[in-house]
Amino acid sequence: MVTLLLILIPLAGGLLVMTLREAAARIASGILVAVTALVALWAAATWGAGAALRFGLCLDWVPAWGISFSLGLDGLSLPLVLLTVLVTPVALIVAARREDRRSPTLYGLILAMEAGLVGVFAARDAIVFYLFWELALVPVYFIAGFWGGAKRVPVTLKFLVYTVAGSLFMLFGILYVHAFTLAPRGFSLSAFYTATLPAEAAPWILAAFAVAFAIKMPLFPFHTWQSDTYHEAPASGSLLLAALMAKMGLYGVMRWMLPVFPTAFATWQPLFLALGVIGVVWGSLVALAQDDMKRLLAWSSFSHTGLMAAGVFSLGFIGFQGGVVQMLAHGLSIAGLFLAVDIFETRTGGRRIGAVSGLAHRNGAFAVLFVLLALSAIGLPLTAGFAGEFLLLLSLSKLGLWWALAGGLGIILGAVLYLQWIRRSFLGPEPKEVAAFKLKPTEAGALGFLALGGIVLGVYPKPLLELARPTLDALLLVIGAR
Amino acid sequence: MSLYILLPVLAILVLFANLGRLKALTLPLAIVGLVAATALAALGFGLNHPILKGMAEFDGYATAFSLLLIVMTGLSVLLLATPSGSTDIPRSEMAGLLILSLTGGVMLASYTNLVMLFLGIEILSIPVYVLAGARKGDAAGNEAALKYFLNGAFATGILLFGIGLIYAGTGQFSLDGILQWSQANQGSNHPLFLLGLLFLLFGLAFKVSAAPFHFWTPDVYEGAPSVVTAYMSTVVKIAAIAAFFRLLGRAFPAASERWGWILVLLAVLTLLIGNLGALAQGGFKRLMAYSGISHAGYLLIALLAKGSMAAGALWIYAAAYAAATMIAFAIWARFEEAGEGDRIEAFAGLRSRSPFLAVALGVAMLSLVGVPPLGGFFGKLFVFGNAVGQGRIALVVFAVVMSALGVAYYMRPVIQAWFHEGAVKTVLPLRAAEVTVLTICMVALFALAATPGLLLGAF
Repeated sequence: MVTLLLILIPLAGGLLVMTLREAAARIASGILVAVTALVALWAAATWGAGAALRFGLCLDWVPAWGISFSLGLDGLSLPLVLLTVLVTPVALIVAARREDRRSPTLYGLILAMEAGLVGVFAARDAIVFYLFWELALVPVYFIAGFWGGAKRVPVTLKFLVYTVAGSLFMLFGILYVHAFTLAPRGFSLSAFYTATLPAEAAPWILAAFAVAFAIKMPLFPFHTWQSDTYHEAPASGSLLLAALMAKMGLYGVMRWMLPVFPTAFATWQPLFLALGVIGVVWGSLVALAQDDMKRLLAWSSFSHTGLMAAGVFSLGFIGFQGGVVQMLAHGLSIAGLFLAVDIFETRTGGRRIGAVSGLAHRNGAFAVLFVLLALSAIGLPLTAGFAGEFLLLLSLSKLGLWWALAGGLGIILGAVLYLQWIRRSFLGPEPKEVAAFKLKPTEAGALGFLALGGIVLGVYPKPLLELARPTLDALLLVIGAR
Repeated sequence: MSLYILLPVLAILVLFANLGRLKALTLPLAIVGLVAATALAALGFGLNHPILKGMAEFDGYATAFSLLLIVMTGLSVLLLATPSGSTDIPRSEMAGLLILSLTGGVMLASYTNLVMLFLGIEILSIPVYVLAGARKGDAAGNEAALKYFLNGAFATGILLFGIGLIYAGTGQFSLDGILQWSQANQGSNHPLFLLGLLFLLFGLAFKVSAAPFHFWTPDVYEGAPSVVTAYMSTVVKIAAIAAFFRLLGRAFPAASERWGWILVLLAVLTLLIGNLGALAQGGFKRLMAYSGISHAGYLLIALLAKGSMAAGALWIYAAAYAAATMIAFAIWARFEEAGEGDRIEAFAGLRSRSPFLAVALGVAMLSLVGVPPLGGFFGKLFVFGNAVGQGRIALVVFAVVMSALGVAYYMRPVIQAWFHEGAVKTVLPLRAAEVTVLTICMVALFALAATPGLLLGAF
């Protein structure tokens, strides 16, 4: 019931909000995300130990096909649901801070997207998973297509065709696995975990799932939509894409790909690892050459995702732990950075790096918050980024030192990237053309919350690790890697 | 049985009402009659009784498809009822012809004898030949009518020839008789029988506009008035596919290794031509015509499976396709009427001109793409699922690639409506009949998602 509420409140609320006038819609959507967040936090507060599924719900949907509307939370779902309900309010703040772009439709779409994301993380049936997977996509397509930049139409169409094509391959994969589940056939997670696929077909079906997840993350070489889409989308859309939607792919890998095709994956593991590691280095190198802040964040995000994927693909407990921590760490820091870029753009009139420097003279608090977020993105010790990346690299190093070295190279390049950005935009002589400015309470609150969240998670990741441990153990048991 | 009486009587009443001073009553009469027919059909659920000395049978399958056809015809008639500035089409006479044609559709859903199949096809088609040319002074409309008539007559000829050959080979007209004959003559390798089956397949492929028998579709759809196009692309196509499935499932289940590969070939060709053709279109009706061809391809995949699960999948696919297509043409009728061009760009700025129409267009196109939780998704899910269950992996992978292409062209009207500003900015006021049609179709698209289990169990 709690899980259903986490989906229904934003979904029904989002549809309602679209019919209101702007001012009322803004307040209503604020209340709705707050209530959703409180429900999720209550679920987390009453969490006990163990791997068991909590707040489960299972209704017959299409009995003849073994489809059931099945939801629930466990140690892997809950952290991502928490990330979703905590970052969505930030997306709303970003959406509402530019007065010329305020719109009830935008708020409603953000809420609908929240519902889709929670559904993806809570689904326990492949068809339900697919349903929410697409439900999360449609709102963000309209957000980017409607409020985006000049080239939004072709760019978002490419994004949509790309992702839907990936999803359709996954749908085929789902149907194929279904045909090989034990009788009575079904689409439930447990049916998928016990399906026995013919050995010669398994790699192909693995590929069908992998393409969908690789496009969503994105993983090299399926990333060509990313930089353009992040660039053209409005800040709220880019934020949702980078902080939340990218996590759907990695979550899908951990929940729906690795445990279903453990043998086929083991054969192709080096390829997957290589794709992840190529992304790490490629992303950070290209990011270094960007002078648009949103493009820089897109490429840096691509690089981070590559490392997360490589760590998870290393198929170890530590890698999985690192994946969970880093998904949260990256979600918090990238959301903060997109908000910061949007503030930067509205206050200085542009987002080209180097066009305005020395912004720290104009607002010291903003500079400090930005630096904190950037340090978490770099992975400085005591930030969440460090905890996550350390675990990911540790797991990679167990497979081979070269994997870890290549991953580490990406981190070093990332550090160069963000430190340069800080130097060029926030340090240096006073900017004459920009007046001193104050942050609005919502802006300062959101930035502060995200920066602080990164630090708390970095200093004391233990509750998160304990929360995820039993579920990760169980998953690795299914994969047979434990 | 009662439908066989009610529908023609209703059609005649509606036609005659035009002659007298009751012209204003014709459309209400047609609607009331069709609602009664819906109720009558629904009441007959579960009463499997052969009628007309075994010429037809209203089993669950026949009832379910009859219901779909009646509702879709009712929606077409409702579209006719919208008051319009242009009076260039004889709306009330058209309602009578639509109901007459529907009679043929119901026969195609319920026949158990090849003679009834032929009669059904003819009764379904002949009124539509007239309807396609409803705009008497319009050259494109006349061209459409003539093209449709010539092609349709040709297809019927082939079909009739096939029926004759089957009879020559087996001595049977009834579906059950043919089945018994082929079971008695193991392998059923009689050349007349096989040739007849081939001709039957081709004749029906014509009616569902499957490639390579599709070439009349874009021109006819483009030339006919939108209401008629809506009817053709929903009722006519679904009636034909329902007849197709009944024929294969009841008379030729054992011959599947013979006709299976032909259907696969037709499906692949239809999907390829439909989807690639749609990508290249600039006019909305032509886009929808190619969309109709591509969906004929998916429906052909649905024909490959047998049994009640397959029938349910076919019904859900057909219903979702019909509801979405009806929405598309209902909206397009507005633009056609206002003479705002035939290009997809006519939708530009629809969001600000009428948010309701823009939402309806978005829902319809997303359903045609197959985005959950809309009906189109469940249609694809069950049809593809059945095909995967039969081991037709390559075919499904091909269909998946083609569905991905669908995103590229179904989004074009949506992009125009939502993301572009148009030159014409006048507000489009909503009309009661139109709102009813669009609401029914949208509710149906969502309801199909809530109840697929119930529907699958009804066959």
